[in-house]
Amino acid sequence: MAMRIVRRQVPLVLTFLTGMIYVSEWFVRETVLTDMTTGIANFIQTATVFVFLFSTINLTVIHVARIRRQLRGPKQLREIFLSSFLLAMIYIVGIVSAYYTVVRGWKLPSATPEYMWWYNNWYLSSSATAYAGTLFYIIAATYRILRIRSRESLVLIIGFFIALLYTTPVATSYIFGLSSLGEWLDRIIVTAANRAIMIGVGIGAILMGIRTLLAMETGYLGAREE
Amino acid sequence: MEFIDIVGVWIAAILTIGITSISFKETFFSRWSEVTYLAMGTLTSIVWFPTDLRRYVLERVAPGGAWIPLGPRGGYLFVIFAVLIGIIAYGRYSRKYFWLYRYYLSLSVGTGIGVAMRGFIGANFLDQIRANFLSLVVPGDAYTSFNNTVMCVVVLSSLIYFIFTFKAIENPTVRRISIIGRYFMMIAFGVTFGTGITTRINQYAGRIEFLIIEWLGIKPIA
Amino acid sequence: MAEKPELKEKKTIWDKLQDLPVSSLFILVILSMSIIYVYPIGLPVPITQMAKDTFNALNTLPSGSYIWIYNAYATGSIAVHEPGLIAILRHSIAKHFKIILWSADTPIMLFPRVLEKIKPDLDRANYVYGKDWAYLYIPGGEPIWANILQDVWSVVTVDKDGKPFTQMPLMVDIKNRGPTYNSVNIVFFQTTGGETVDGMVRQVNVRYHQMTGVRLIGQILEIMVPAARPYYNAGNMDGIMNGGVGAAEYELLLGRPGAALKVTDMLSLAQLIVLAYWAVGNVGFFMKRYSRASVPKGGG
Repeated sequence: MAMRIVRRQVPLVLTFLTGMIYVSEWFVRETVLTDMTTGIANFIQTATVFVFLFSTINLTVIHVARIRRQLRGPKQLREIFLSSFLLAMIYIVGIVSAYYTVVRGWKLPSATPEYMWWYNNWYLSSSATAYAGTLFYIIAATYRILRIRSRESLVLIIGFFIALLYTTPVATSYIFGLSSLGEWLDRIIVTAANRAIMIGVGIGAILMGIRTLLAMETGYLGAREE
Repeated sequence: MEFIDIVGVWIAAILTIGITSISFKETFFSRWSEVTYLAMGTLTSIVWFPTDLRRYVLERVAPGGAWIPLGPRGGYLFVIFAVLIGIIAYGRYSRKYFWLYRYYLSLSVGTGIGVAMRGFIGANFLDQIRANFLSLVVPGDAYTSFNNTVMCVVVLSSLIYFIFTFKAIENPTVRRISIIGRYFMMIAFGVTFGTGITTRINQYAGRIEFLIIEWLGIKPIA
Repeated sequence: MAEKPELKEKKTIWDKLQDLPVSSLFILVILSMSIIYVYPIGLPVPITQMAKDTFNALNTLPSGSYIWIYNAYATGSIAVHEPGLIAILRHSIAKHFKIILWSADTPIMLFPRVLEKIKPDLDRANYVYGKDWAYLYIPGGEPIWANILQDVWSVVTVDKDGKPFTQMPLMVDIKNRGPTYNSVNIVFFQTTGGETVDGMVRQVNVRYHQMTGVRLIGQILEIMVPAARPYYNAGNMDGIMNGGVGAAEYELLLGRPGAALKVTDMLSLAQLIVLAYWAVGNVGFFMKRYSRASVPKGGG
């Protein structure tokens, strides 16, 4: 019984208390409540420093499992090489770079030339391309899937067509009225539709928030032990 | 340019081409680029740990550190508790001690909900509803009257689509209005899809700029 | 009785139009963007009302105002957000604003690139770090923003390099003026996440606008703008910089063409190619629907 309280009820009470302190501070604006919200935010900021290893542990578990699987041909060898490379990069480059930030007088990583070389040439380029590379998936989908099959898809495509032309400088320069039409569409139709979506989402979010604070929604705590 | 910088530019270019090649065909080269990106993204948390440890743990208890409740002596207790909560969060990797992770989670979730909910009513309801209180007839300005009318119709019909999703089946008038709302929302989604292409083209343009200027050394003819 | 021959469907030109290799589309887009980058045409960029409002939100503030800049952009959107940040910083320096930037780890890693480009402006305007501008390292989300604007000294007391606020006249001045929100005239944020837009509206505009008249502008990706438009329309945001296109418009309004403007030509050609392929696919789809291309049945 005591363990059940400690494992489940206390976290639910903590959620309620922290949520209510923040909500109350908004409406009451007393110094003591403002101080409490500052204290809670600083507390979580300090605690979060130590959860830095979550992503590293997750990747390590997945890739060690991949490496341990029985050897079964060139494809498996390729996966073992890639997983080993990934883990080696994370631990060797990561730990060495962290070491350099310390020995250089606890400077920021951005002030550590060793790490900045890795960051600018290895991470920046691959990350920027990974985000931008989704362009090819979107344009492939536009070509293959965006067909006028029904009235709804026709309406969607009208919006898509005008939006694409409107953000094309050459089209707005040579097609009379396109700029005004596009701006009108954005200002009236898009704003109004998104306003309705925002209000609808807002209703749902507030209800979910209240349910979570009042412990009616406990999914975030994970599965029950019993 | 130093040799190490030239090596760096070549590595950046190879990774750019490697990640782009994922869209064309999955090869060993594209998989290696993907894995490199994943590794570099993950290791940043290790690299920043000493800085965060110093700033948000050690300096919090130092004289002149950021404000913490309970006064200067209480500051040590505060930081010790915060560190403990952060460390026991690793209980999430154990079935037996998973419940320890819930303490960190409950504080984060409670804070997040409290902070979000208090502004929601203002930003997502009151201000939006207030902004939609528009004059349907503006004397001497037919264009604004038309725009205001269209805006009100779109907002109301789209809201009816959302809120009366189930009841609409029974009432034919409500059903027709919700269909109109659905069409207006489809226009908005089409616009969002179109702007998505613009976003990605802008992002990829940066990579092309890098490959042309920094890797190939070609200067644009301005 | 003879067996009936099976119906055979020939692959027509309309099927082929719907089934062009997508790699050809990718290569065309990459090639066209590259060629037009090397040989730019210099097409005019129309300036929208939203871009003018964003510009005026800054431009109508008096000299000596305080601008707080929150950069939360990632490496993925550097091509879009970096020109925007440079344009805003140049404008703020030209207007002699006090500039306070704050961010988590990634933008700090990207800031040396920005600093290199705005250094001439800083030197020309005799901007001194710690006196006229500062950069703070403050990780954390919405709960932290609420506290920053209430009292920044309660959240952090050193800048990103560990220099104490007590040695920075700008931060001491902010403390002496009372709650931090007394030293906030405009907040500019950059993000790739929708929750940042909502959070900024809640913690900056809804909380402080009526109290202090603080203005809020932001640069977000083009795909996020439709969802943020209700905030702009309702007055929660004084302006939105529409991604890379918005940054190009801002550069034009400022009279300082930069990286964003160079990209607009590439945008034109690439989008036209995408539209052309889409049109071809739909022509194939419609013509296939309304024509027959089957082998006729044989007789008995």
